[in-house]
Amino acid sequence: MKLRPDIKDNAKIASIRLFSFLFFFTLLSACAPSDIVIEGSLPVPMVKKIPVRIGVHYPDAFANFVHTETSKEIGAWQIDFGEQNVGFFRALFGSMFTEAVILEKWDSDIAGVSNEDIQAVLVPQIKKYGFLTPFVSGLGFYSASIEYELTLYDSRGATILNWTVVGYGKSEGKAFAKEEAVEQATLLAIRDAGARIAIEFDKQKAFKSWFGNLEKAENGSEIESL
Amino acid sequence: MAQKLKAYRLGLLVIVIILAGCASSRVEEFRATETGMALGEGLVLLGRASFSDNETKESFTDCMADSLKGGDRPLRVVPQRMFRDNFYPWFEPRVEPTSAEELKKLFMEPGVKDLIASSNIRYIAWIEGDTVRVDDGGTMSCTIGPWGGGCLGFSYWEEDASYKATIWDLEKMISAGQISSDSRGTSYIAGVILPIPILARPGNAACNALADQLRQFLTGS
Repeated sequence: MKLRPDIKDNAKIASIRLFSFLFFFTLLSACAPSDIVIEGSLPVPMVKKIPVRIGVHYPDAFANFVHTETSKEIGAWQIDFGEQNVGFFRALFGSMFTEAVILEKWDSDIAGVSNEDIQAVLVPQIKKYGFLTPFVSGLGFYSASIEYELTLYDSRGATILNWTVVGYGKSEGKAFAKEEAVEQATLLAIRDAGARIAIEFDKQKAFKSWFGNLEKAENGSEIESL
Repeated sequence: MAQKLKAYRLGLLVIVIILAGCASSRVEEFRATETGMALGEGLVLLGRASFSDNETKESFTDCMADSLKGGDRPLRVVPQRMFRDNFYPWFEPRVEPTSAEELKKLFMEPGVKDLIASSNIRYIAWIEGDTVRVDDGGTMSCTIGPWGGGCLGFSYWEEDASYKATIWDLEKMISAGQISSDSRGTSYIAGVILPIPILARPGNAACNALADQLRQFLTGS
């Protein structure tokens, strides 16, 4: 069966149009910026509670952390940590200490803590965040790293501890799901840093020294009151 | 009718070749102590993570778990992700125990021993290894355009899947033994307008071989 020439031409034009549309759509989607909001659940640690009543202040830069990066190799990225950071650290500190109270305002230079029940104040910050795509690293996965800085102040505002913790995460890349892979790697990096904080916080030399003095002072005051 | 039957046989042969490929496996076992699983006791498979390129992929431990949960004598396998979440932070990649001695120390942490007991987990099997491409060659090019497309050429690649399972007995608090599995296979793609794959799946062969041996190691059957 022979097709009429005009039908044949129409079919040709339609297939060229479809091909051109797919070609340009692919080009455009490759140029689109990658916006991610980190979401997902992280577990609550199962650790022995440190017998300290702590105040935690989350600076705005920590609570609203957004990473932006643009380069020729990876394109434009915007990674918003959203509620994830504060939500996870709230659960983490809540399970690590006898009591963890959120302090909306805190400035170690101006004054100590108004709440007398609080024995120390912890301020977490994000110092660095970075991620690698397989295209940049040459490896078969996406990876992310976060450098947290935890500063612990005593109730008068003097620094007890300044500790840097780096968390790593990686995720196998899937075709057309680079955002999902970076999100997953970031979530695992937060989780990894959290694990180290939960296990190693009370093993830090500066903390052990301060905590030893705190225990001595509390025992002394108990004996005096007797 | 005869022609139809011929075409059917040819089609069947092609499907069998595509699905089966060819992969050879070798399994070795080292036993340090007697093992056994009572009714209801479970096992968890944990992939060792090292943040290097060659770490055990979750898909491999999932494949082993599926294999162990099936068959004539299914085992109770606790999902890896659930286990790591429940025991967070103790089994995270950079802090997890690397020896039975470290496991003993971990059991002294509050809640860990009780949670293991209430979960009725008898064994942890640490899975290490990866599937890597060891050789490849040939050339094949494919073209696509508005009026159609096609492939022409021939290419092959050889993969080696080498995995090891280290089994810890949580009741005796010792390493019960080790099983290793090594599978190798070569896959081909021939491009004759349509690409025809003849795939060997050494990763899958290693998964099934390791799972079968692990079942035998734990239950003696």
